[in-house]
Amino acid sequence: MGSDCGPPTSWPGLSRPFTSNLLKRHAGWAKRSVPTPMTFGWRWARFALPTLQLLALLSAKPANAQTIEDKAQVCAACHGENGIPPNKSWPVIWGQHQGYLYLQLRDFKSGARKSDVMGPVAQALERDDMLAIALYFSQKAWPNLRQTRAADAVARQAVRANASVGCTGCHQAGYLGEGTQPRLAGQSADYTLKSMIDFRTHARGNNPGMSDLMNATSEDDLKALAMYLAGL
Amino acid sequence: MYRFKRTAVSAMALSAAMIGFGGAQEIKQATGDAAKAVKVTPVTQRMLDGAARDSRNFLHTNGDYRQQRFYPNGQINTGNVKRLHPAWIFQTEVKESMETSPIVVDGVMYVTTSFSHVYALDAKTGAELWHYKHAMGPITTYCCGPNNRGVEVLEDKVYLATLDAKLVALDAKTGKVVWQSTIADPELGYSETMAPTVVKGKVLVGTNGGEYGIRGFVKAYDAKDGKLLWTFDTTPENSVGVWAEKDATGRDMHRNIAAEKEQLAKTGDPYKTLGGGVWQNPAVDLATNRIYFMVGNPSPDLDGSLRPGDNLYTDSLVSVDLDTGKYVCHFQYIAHDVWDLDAVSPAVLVDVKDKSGKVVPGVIHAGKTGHVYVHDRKDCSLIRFSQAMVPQENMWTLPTATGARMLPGANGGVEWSPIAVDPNLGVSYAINLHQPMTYHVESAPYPQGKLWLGGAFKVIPSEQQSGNITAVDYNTGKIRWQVKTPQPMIGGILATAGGLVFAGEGNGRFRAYDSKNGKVLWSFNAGAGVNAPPSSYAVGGKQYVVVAAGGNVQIDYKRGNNIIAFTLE
Repeated sequence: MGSDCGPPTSWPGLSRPFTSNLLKRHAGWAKRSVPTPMTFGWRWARFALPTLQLLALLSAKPANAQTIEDKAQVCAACHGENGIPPNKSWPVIWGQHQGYLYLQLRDFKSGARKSDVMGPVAQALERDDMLAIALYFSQKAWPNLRQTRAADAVARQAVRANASVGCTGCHQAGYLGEGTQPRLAGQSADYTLKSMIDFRTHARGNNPGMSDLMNATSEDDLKALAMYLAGL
Repeated sequence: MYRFKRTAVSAMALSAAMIGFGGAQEIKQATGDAAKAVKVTPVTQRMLDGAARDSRNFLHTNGDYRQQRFYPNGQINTGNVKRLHPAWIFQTEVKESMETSPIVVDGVMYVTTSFSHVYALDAKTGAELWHYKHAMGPITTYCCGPNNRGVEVLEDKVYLATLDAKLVALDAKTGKVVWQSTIADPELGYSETMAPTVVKGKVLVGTNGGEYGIRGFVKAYDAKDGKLLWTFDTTPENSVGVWAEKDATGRDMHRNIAAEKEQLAKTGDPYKTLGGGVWQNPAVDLATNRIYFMVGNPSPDLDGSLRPGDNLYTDSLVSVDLDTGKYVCHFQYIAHDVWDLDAVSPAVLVDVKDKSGKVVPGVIHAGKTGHVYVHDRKDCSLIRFSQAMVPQENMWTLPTATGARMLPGANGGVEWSPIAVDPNLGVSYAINLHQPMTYHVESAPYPQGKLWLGGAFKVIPSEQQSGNITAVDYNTGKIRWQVKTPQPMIGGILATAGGLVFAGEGNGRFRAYDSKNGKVLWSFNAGAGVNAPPSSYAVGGKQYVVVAAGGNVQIDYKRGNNIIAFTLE
């Protein structure tokens, strides 16, 4: 669930549509550059659908006739039509676990996880919507980002770091996650590293436990972990 | 639905298994070519009460209501254990951490896996009778793996507590759900990994969640229909206590009580998010109708600044009345714990010598601190504590922002692993971890059902880890013998009337030791971590020892999916 992506717009058929103020607030999204703690490059404008075009897409059917696929279309702009996000600092959500996706939407809505993009998107969602959207994406196949397998020395460093703070205690064997614990294996290296650093700096503040663990791990080890996990 | 995916069962074997099953009920199971019948014996309260003398069944998670894990069958013994070999191996569908204690009722075995699966197996052949796969809700929150430590059986129902905090009653004959109750909301940090305890028409269950800012409890449900009968909150509304400055062994815990009092005045009693999980089964004293259980760490684990006071009844032995759930007594080992060196391994009831040498009903617990604590069952008071079973250094150094080294590490000592006792020898057997760690603190507000450690425990990679099995004379507190193992030990142990103790290791070894001196008498390599408590039983006059080899999430031991039953050649 990216914190730095996409053109927020309405969620037709969901419990609470965006207000006109929200739409207005985000009308200029394509032009804005949002600073991030890491300099991964902000290339949103290249990939975004023009707002009007997106609205047209979403209003093609009456709200009550829309399927979850229709509703989830809005996510594709950033999270990928085929599950591969067009920007490496945006996360894969296809095949991610329902519980995790739901909790992130919940936290975007409450503000516990801050994002100018996902915050307003989540505002339009009630709990059942979040669970349904999370279920929809969890049932998609995890895409192959074709990331390089980490070199042996990097992998060894990552395995040592795991032995120290116990990532697999929550993220499970193979870093495949489960329930509310996200899959890390095969996630975009840039996104994973950004997330770990954001936990460290508390830019991502919705999981102090993760912040603690990331602060107990050196930045060098975090880089090794991100590369290692990406290549799994 | 019955499935025989892995092991075919011959009609002859099943017939043999049925011999002598008084009062059994017949069930049909569909196989590829023919319907076969297996008999399932209802478990009566009388059978449960007499489990300590039952050399055929294994009816309780920890052997009997006293939780002694002393199996009264001596057919497999010090003289012949070298001839022990696998009778069968059953592979489950779930290759993930296994902590199950197999339950055996007249030739039918019930085991569980991670993610709350239950299997009924033919205990003689390992053939699958049924498989229950819990329809897991989308929200699961747990700290240490998707484990399950087993089921218990009362009458014709099998009781399971699930990762998404449900209590489920299954039909023992079919594995079909009879009823299901919600124990707590997993979105708030609650989960279940323990086996329930069944007693006198009740199903008792605690909760995980000490890493998630929950309010811990033990609940009793009606075994017939799943209705809640009572709840004992493990963190009372007044959790402040007596501002204890020393732990149970008399060591100063370096509390800043003035700062805590100031915090208390500002934020009030922290009981609502104070943690206090109950990870393991309560022991039941049938004579007094009391239960005894261990309450785990306060939340957040390492940051005491947000939770002023002693944080009652975290890190404590607690007793309540079985019928009402009303408080009887408690003893707190570490007030205001900031190291997660809590009380997890289940309480064991055994007669002990008090300070004057008089034999009294006692209750013992092996702590993460590495001590075996011996209590008077009457009022929970501490009689003695044992020599430390693991190295202790710099106790009690407070956690710091950059990390302070202290031993034991946060996993113990003795983790959730149940101990065993041999009451004839007056000895307890515990498996231990030695993991040097640094303790880090960082304060953060309660994150609404998210992991809330208030810092981190970090293994020091350059320091050697190890484990041990330690036999302690609980009447003197002295260590009788100790056997070191190359890796920290987690999982549990079984003692038998054959003069043996059985325990597994993360490297796949499963071994039998002479209970008198710790000599290794038999060894088997299971290919995956043996990190579950062994059970024993008999079918057709032959004694078996059974254990799960599934590895462990918490210490990251090699995963597997095997239930392995051993018997003599």
